[in-house]
Amino acid sequence: MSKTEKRLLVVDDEPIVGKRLQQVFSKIGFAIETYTEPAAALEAMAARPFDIVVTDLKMEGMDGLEVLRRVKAMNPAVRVIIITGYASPDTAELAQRQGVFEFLAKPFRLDELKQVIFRAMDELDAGN
Amino acid sequence: MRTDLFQSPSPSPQAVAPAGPAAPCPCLALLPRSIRGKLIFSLVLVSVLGVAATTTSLYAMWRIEDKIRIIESFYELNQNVLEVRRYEKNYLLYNNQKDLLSALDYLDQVRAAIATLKKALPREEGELQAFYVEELERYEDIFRQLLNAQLPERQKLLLESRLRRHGQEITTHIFDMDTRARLRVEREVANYQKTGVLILALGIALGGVLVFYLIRWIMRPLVAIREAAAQIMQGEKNSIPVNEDILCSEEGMELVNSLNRMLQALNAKQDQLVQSEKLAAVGKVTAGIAHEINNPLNNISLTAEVLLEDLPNIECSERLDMVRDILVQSDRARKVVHHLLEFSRARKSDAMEKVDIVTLVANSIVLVKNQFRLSGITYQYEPPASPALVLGNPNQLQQVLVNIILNAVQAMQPGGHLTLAVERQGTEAVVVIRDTGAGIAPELVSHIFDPFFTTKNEGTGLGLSLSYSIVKDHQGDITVESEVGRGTTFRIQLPLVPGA
Repeated sequence: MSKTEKRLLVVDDEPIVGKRLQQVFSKIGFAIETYTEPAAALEAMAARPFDIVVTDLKMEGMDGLEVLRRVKAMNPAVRVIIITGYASPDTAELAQRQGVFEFLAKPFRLDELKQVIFRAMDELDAGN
Repeated sequence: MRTDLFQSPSPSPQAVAPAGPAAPCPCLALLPRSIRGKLIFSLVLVSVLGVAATTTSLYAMWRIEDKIRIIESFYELNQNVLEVRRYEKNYLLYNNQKDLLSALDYLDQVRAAIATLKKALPREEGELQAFYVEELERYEDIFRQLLNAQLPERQKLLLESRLRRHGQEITTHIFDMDTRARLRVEREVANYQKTGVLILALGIALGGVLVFYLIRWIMRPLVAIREAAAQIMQGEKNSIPVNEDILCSEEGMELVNSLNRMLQALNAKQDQLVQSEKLAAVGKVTAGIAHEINNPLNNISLTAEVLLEDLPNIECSERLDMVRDILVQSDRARKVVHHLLEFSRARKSDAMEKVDIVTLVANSIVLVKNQFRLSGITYQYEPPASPALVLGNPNQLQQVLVNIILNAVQAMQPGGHLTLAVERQGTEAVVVIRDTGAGIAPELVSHIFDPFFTTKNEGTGLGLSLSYSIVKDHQGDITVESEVGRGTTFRIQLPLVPGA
């Protein structure tokens, strides 16, 4: 684990995703906040900066790419991981260009997500 | 010529055969059943009647000629009698024996004329014979007595006055007979004229009847087929019924059978098209379906993994919650798969049942909901509290709804809004699907239900055409209003189940 506690933001309109990730990641020492509404998540982000953002792609109101763009605009260092039930190659490419850290297809294994988040932490630590 | 006509093989061998086992033919059993047979029958009938009319008029002419000859004979007789009377008068005036001889000569000619007349007028033979025997004999006798030169003056005067009287009687008699013969001939000629007019009237009437029935025989099946075709177009029927109008003619029956076979083939093709178009629609919603299944799967696997990893440390109530989550999420995935299968399954097009349109719209939304999300579109559907039952094939009706909704989604940019509603209007349920998309140019609106018409690069161009024919099959209608840049509204009208 890292020296400092990492702040993790989860945005997914499926409440179960938030609940489970909360269970898992709070246990391994993350400061985690979960939201089902992208707008609320962005407000939280504006109030309290996060290191890593995990967002769903297709959500009502605002999609994951928009979340990525806005978060990056607030803090380019943030690592954004997009999880989605279905993404066309076009969307994936667009996300890559806008600086997504990783693209994960649902259903993903918990270990996969953990690995990605740890890699993001390592990058963050190395960068800082 | 006449025998030829009668022998011409008017009815084809099966033409007079009794009506098929399907139903007894209401037409006269003796009439041929094929149009060809009927035409030949009518032509033969007309020819026979024509020959009969010609024969009758020829006979009438021949009879009239006969009568004219009688009149001529009477004229000759009259002339001869007049000659006799002229010599009689000359003798009485000049007392010349030569006149008597000449008169006797003419009397011979009168006899010859009467002999001819007797042959020409067998009915008058008795009267002529009596005239011939009694009056002419007596008259001639007087002439012969006068030839005797040694007659006493008194007797001679007596004979002369008798001669005069007899001569008058004969003239009167002949004149009388002549007049009667003339009258009778005139009467007969008038009769022939009447008969002629009668035959003409009969011919016109018969011709009229024949033309009427010919047109009826030929037109009846055609009209029946035309009406059935119109009903098929309106979706009231799906084949041309073989009824008595059509049983009347073989050609009509053959035509109907081929048309019905063609309709069957068309229906089969239509079913195939419906199915392939449906699978194309499934292809379009794949992304949405994947999303809709992957999300619950993800929820299930996440929850299961957390349980597996940390079971001992999780509180009992939370475990239960998590297991319930798994169940709820697997149910959610199951429903999506169920709807998808329900939608893509091929079903017999004539399987009709009561369908609640309100629920059907809701189910269709489930199938395409993620398409909304993927396309960044919001939608609104407030189902009415009471169901709207229509009689139909739920599968096909859902295909119509999914197809029109997907079209609406494709017409819209992200941020578009789709409004769905089910309204009751009198005896109809109306599904209103209103989008805020690009709209359809007015000149194209009338083509959108045409097969293979499409403005998109993808797609077969059959979706709306099939939707239209499905709705028509359900005795319903689809109307469309569109404004370029503002959006399009589709209205699907379907008759409600009466009393429901």
